Amino acid sequence: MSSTRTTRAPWFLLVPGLLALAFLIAPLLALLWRAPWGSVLDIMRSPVALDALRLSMITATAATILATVLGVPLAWLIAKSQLPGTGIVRALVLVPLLIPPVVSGVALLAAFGRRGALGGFLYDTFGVQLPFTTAGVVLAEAFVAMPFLVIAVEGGFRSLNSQFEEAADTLGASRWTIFRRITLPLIAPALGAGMVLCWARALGEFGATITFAGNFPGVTQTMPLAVYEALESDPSVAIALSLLLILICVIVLVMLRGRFLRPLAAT
Amino acid sequence: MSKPRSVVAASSALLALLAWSPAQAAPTPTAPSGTITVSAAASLTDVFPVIAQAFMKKYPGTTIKFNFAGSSTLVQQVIAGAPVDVLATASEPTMWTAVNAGHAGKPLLFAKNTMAIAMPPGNPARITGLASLSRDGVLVAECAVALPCGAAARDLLVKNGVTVKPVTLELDVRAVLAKVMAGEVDAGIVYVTDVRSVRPMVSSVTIAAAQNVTTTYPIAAVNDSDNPTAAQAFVNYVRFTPSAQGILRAYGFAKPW
Amino acid sequence: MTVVADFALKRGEFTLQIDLTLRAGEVTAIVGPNAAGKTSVLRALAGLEHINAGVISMDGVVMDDAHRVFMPARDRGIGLVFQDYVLFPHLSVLENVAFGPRSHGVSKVKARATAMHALQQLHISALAARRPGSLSGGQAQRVALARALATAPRLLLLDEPLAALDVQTKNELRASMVARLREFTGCSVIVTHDPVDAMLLADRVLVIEAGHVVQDAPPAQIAAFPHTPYVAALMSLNLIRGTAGNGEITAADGSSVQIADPYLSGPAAAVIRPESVAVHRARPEGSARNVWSAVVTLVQPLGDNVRIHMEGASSMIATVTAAAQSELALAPGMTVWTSVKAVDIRSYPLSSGSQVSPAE
Repeated sequence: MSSTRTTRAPWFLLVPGLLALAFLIAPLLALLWRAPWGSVLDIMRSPVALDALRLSMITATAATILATVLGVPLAWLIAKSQLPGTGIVRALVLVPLLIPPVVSGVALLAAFGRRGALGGFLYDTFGVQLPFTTAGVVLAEAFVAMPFLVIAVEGGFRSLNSQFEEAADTLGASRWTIFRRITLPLIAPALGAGMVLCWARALGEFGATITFAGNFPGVTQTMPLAVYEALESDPSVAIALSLLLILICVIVLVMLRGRFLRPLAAT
Repeated sequence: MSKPRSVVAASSALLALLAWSPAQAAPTPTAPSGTITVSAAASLTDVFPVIAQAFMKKYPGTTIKFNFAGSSTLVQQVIAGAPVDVLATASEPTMWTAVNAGHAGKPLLFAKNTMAIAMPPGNPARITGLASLSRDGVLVAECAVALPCGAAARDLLVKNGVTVKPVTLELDVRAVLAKVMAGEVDAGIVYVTDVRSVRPMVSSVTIAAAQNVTTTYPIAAVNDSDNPTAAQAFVNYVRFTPSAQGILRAYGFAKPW
Repeated sequence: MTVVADFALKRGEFTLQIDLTLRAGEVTAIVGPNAAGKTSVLRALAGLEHINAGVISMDGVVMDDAHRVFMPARDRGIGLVFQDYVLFPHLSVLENVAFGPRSHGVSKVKARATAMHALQQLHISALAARRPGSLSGGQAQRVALARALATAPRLLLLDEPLAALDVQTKNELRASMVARLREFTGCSVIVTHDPVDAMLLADRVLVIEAGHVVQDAPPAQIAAFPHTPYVAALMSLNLIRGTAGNGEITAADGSSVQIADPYLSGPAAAVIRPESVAVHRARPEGSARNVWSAVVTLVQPLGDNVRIHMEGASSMIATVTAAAQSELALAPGMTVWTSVKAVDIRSYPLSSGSQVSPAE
């Protein structure tokens, strides 16, 4: 008998589903329970916390911008290319997703460190050093987060009906106009989802950041690093900082109101 | 009267014997056996397994598992109820936190460590001593102040009146070493034992005893251990046996007294 | 404006061979069976596909020479109406139509004015602020046409423009399209499978079958003198092809039909309108010279008449009144007799360009 009411979930889905929800929420609730509510505001206003928060926001956003500027063209190339090596390229792009972040950090040092393959050249010729700088943090975060953006946007390009671009072509539009006025707007949902994922991943990055860029308040100590360091001296401070970070993420996600996360389900 | 006097004499002798005995408990009547988990500071990563081998050879039937991490982390794990039998930290304050929280028994100081400067092989930045570290453009790595090695490094610099702005405050003394070995920094302030353990891969500068800073390592049995016999046996072994102390010496640790 | 195209296009296993000349003000319809390559011809003219051999040139300038010269669609000055319209879903109707002029560098204000004018010409200016997703099929079709015309192209290409519409909308739009195409000063090409489109909209019909142009003539001529069974079927006509001589045409399978023209000889075709075919339950007597037996395959009511499809020596279609059908009670599987008077048969010679195919 069908009805117009919403379907009630069958027990073999409801029970595991609720268990999963409990599993995901329990640590967050435990944090709230253990939080040092007396001093939480002071901790959140302390220079260490504010420095780390500001640095995290700036580097995650910068990393996302970098990942977008580089990643969208890469995604386009992978999606549109007919060449046989494309599958390998896509697999390589996914590598930072699979390896432990510390390994990413080690690899970044090997490439961009003072004695690295490219970094050595930069240092000897221009005196530019990327480790221990905020730019280095941005680089590390972009490295681990860019694959999310590339995969999401590539999916967007591939599922785009090529006739839209053909129609624009017949109407006299240049390739840049087609890309700007037709292609990009039509993949905006996929791009948005990719950027949100990328930003979130960059914000939470720890291993690659500390291995490549080091840890120094105000320069390279992002929130995750500050939390880990606080664990060494005062766990309640670590909990307060963790809550601050979670609070910021929740605010951002609520602001986006799931608008960009829905295409993720479709990707 | 000889009898009361002999009783007094005997009791005094016994008391003296007990007072002189450094162990906190009477010698264990049975040999240790079974498994114990030892949480030890990161700087003991190389030396403790060797001591454990010797212990397990002396007492077959025992197995020792290790858990190495920063001292504060280890203490928090113990306070949170981690199933650990022995705790060895790199500073007394960290140990006292565990003791005051009622999770560790009486600690014994079993070793001392001093600081040294480690440089990449070949010493490209020509570091000759603490004063070199404050030169313009020299990149120095230290441990974070919350770590015993970081606190010691800061004390060292303050004691010698050297101002250094490090480029990174690592959360693990091994990470400092890693950056030095990779040549990403010009120098790192680490323990003397760390330099010894990676000797061909770093150059180093010794700091004279008068200028140096000492850290002390305590070890204690954890309360509510499942195997208190073996735990205490290991604690005593590390502190009192010549073989354990000899191994510590070989790795660069100084005498605890 | 003249388009001269003589090219070959590889379509999977077979090659399309096209030779056509389009003149300004002329509307050419391209008809043919599915997968004949009609859309590919359009795409090649548009510059969305490369030809494999030959040349396409417009006004003397080479667009595509299958080697180094290839002018992309944006530079050819063409307008294309896609089969599913392909309106940009994120732009309003007005912005869609203004897209072409804006891409040519026209200012936003001017482009919108041009777009508005184009919408008015098709009587859809009220839709300007709507989104393509909210339009009906007929409305979307007109927006697509307005969008293609807004750039004042010299070559207008329409791919099955009325295919996706219901009959009533189709008829309405066809009428307005006739008017619009009459006014259009450039060349127009319509790909269609609907013979009514070809008859009403085109000045010239190109029939493509199996990769070749099999007939190129004004619609009236196609209807009167189809060269292939496909065209005949398109026009709902019966066609017999063969060799004429002594007042009869003999087909490749040996069957023959008596025609009225005693002088016709050589390759020839005979067209018989379904209305001229009489159907009998028993072998008829009388003056009709052409009498064949056949088996009924389909009985198809069409308004007041009934269309009878039969198979015999060849396929035949006959149209009878509903009254006649109720009397005859024809049903599939029945064996019947057909008769046609020779004077009701139109016969004509076939040019060498439309050979009798071996399959006949």
